[in-house]
Amino acid sequence: MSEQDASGKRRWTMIVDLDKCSGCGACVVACHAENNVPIAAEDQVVADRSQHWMRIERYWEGEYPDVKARFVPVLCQHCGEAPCEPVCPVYATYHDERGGLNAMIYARCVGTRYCANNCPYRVRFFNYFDPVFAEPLNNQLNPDVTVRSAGVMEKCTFCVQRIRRAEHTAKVEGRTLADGEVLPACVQACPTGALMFGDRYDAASAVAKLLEHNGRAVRLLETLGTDPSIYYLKGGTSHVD
Amino acid sequence: MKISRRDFIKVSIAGAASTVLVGCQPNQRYVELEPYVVPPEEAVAGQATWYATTCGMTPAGNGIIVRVMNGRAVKIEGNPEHPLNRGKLDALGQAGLQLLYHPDRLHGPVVQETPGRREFKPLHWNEAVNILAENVKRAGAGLAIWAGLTTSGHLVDLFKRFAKATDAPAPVFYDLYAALHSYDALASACGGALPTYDIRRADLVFAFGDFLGSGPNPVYYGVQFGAFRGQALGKRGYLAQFEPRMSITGAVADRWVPVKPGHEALAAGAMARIIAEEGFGGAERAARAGELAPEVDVAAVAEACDLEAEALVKLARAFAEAANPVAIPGGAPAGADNGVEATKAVQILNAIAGVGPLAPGVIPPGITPTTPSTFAEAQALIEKMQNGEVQTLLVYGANPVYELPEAAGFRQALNKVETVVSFSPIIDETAAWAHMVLPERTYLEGWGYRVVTANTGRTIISSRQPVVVPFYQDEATGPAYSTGDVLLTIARGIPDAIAALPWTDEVAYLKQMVGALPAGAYGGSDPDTRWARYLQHGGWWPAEDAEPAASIMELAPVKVKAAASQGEANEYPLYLHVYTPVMLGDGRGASLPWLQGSPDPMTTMTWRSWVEINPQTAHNMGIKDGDILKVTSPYGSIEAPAYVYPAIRPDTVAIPAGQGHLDSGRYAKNRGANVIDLLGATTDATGENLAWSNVRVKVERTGETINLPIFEDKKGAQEHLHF
Amino acid sequence: MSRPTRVWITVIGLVVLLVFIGPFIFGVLASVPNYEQPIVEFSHKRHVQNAGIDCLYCHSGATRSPVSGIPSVEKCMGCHEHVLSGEAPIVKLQEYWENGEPISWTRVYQLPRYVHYPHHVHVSAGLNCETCHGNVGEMDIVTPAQIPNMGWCIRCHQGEENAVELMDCLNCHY
Repeated sequence: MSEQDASGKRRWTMIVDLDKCSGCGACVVACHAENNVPIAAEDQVVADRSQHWMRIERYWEGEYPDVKARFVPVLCQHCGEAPCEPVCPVYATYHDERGGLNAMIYARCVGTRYCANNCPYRVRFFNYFDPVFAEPLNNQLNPDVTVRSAGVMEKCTFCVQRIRRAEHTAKVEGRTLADGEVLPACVQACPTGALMFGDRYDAASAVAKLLEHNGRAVRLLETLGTDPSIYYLKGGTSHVD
Repeated sequence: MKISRRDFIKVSIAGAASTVLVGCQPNQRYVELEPYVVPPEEAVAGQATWYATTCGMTPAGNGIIVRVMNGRAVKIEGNPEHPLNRGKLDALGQAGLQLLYHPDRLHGPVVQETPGRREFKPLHWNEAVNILAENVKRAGAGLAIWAGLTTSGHLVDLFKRFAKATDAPAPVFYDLYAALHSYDALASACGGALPTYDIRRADLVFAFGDFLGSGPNPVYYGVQFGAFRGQALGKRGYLAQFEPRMSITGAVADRWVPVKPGHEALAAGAMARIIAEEGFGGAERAARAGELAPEVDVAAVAEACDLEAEALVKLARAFAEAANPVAIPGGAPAGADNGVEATKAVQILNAIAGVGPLAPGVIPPGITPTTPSTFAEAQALIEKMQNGEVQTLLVYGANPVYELPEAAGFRQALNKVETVVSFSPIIDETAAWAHMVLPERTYLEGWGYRVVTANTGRTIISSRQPVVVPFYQDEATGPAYSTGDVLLTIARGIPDAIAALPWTDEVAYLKQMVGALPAGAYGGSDPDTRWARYLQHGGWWPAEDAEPAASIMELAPVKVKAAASQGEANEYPLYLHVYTPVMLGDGRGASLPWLQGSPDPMTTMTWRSWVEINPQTAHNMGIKDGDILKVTSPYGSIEAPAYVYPAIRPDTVAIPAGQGHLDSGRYAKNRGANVIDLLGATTDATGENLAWSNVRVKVERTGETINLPIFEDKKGAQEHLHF
Repeated sequence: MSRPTRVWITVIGLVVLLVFIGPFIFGVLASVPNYEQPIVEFSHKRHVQNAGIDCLYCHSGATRSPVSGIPSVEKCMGCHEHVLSGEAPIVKLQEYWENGEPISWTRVYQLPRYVHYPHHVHVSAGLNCETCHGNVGEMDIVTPAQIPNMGWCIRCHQGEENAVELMDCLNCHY
């Protein structure tokens, strides 16, 4: 699973340990805070226009009393073969070869919404309106992240602003990035440590090691051939009966 | 001309300090840059400075670090050095930033002539403090203080000193967080300390309430849960959750056991009995079980609990035979009329396994923990108010008008108080009924400390320092006073108080306190160094022990009866399960859009109250998602839409707390219903604690239906993802 | 066509011209660069040539931050408390200082809001300030040496070894 890449390219990868995810939603709020993701008002939620780059999907299994709920945190899967990329007529979404990120360039986006339509994970969100941050709530905005305006598509960036900051710091200090130096906001916040992040092409990284021969690792809708960068570790089991 | 957000961002990157003006040209080409007049010492334009402080959104006392860029706080994260939450933080804690920048914050003190009218007039700070001083002086022993559990330790001490010096009744520390997490019952069942467990190396946990999404220490347990589940191959921890409505802890549990409400402790007792009778888990555990297990008929208890006896036997065996089992008390059982006994019944399982809660740390002299009052103590104060014995009431960090059941009579008692003073930064329900509001700085702008409530084997004093300058320093109202400084200023005019509160300001108090601390994990030879390190690292705590000490609990056998219900079964056929939702908590999250708008993990609901109802019950009553239901208890009724919830007992409905505000800012106001309206002011068997979890209700359709503001797509709910 | 009609047509024509074309002319005029600063006498040239002050003394973020930064009033006063303290422009500065007011400088280099440009990385890669900002030491009033648009960025970067990497959109746009 861990492919060495001599060209210095990275493949930023997230691991979601479903056995540890408690569904507490810390990642959701962390993402809103870090990425200036607007909060949809109630009528907009009803109109299916809420924006959450990171969400907790909850699946019911079985019926009462043998009912189970399973949490699956879902965010942009940063597919290696992303269905959203080829349909963009203006190259606003394309593949970042250097980090394996699925890039979304707001300034280029003309709002055709083809990408959202083609995304099997439903992780792309359209700004139907300019976001409203009632004064002085605009003070909360992260200056490292562009606030998207109406007519623009947006989605999880793997906190590219944090990746860039770390890369810049490393460059100025004349060294390469260390494993664990970059943590997206959701990974940083996750109390149970269900989220992990790193460069899978770096064989020494924690994510590469964890993914090696990991029988629990699956990817969402893998059969579509999207080659996602997010690995989910299936819930473990231990039985008492 | 309005300033667009993008301009703001761009300019703040450039290192502008305060206001930003944009030229009126069509393309907004000219941006003015305003550098600092005097830059903060550490600030580099474009680089963040992180300040360590303490979360003020829950009473837990989580350590946080705040990212400050160009004088603005822009992100809250967990403090990695903090021994309680170890760099992690919950949704509530992260959203605290929006409290700082809340659009409905008061800019300065306000007064109103008629409480409840909400016709507030601004007042100069100096004048406000003088009026308060006058009132406090006149009140003498008729002063009363009501504070919440997030109150800083230094204020707790100053409040207590003030009350003592003026012969006023002892301050009451009570809020809804304490009530709905049964701080009072848990503490009185566990020798005065909130029981906290180390589950990192446990192989089996039985929990009787949600501890990951709510509870006294969700972040602490979240970190522990990660370790619990992440143990080496074959040692993965097993979690069984005993609760009538599946919480997020129930969702991640390996087994959810839907015990009949009010019977959870009976199941615990029966399992202890089974261990004793079957001799599970070796001679030692079986013998202890023999001493402590109640004399019960397992089959009868199983039937009463609506469980299969066989299932109980299997669970009891698993518990007894596990290497490191832990039972976590709390949740709804602790809030019933027999909450103390129910908690003890769960503790007996721990005693059988030979584990105790972690020992409370030794609190150094001069440090004041925020010890919760019991409901009875709170009621005693309300009674004093009703009797006209209270002339001046100070309400700090709590919102009793919203938080207490109608039957507690707090709202009515306010009419008998001459002067009601609130310190809320936003007009909340209590401030709406106050004569005067002296808005306290939010916790991100203020000084203080919190002794963490979790007993983790060592004392953790979590420091609080301003991460930004107070946001509102309006010229019209003068320089803002913190509540600590208000108290110290007032004390100077009262001969009895001046000796008890001799400090010039609150920072002097805190410096003196920290200087007197023994050497902690970060050392420091002189008081100044210790003070600096205390602020830098986020507090004071002793170096970590390899193994935190557990305390021994003295227990006697308890035979618990099922909780008695409030409300007759024939009139009120359903059990009411009240819980604190992950996002809104006890309601203090309701004023923040991030929390209102982020989906509840179990229902994906936003912006609303809802009633969770079992699909079968819903079907029988002809209820569908979004139908507005009228829920009536013996004490009151509320209306909220139905959410058909597959993981709740058919005889139970669950309603989250937190909504139904009449004030508390634009995002909370007139939104949803307050479940507290369904509760009574009944105490439990000890007469000390609020019995909030054993109320029965009836449910009727009103005929109205709404589209639920949910994030999930219920149309596709039948398609499951399989892992 | 009668004479009054022709007059009317002319008048209407002029009004239409004024209403529709006027804003364009105004827009063009309004966006003509004018880099007048609040303290008009402020001269970079004097600071650099006469006083020999290094760029980094005032714009100290350039080596350690994405943003080079504008000096605080306190920093100005650090010298001007004593240096030329009686002169008119300095008196103006002192007024700002005494009133505790920030100086609203006019921005000369303005990147679009969706661009993130790190100063420290460029400086640490060996670039001089002059490379992008021109010879500020020769300017009394600083005007842009070039318009910092994307074409200009690309022109620099395209010759480099890792040009493809450096010209990736996501490098600067997020």
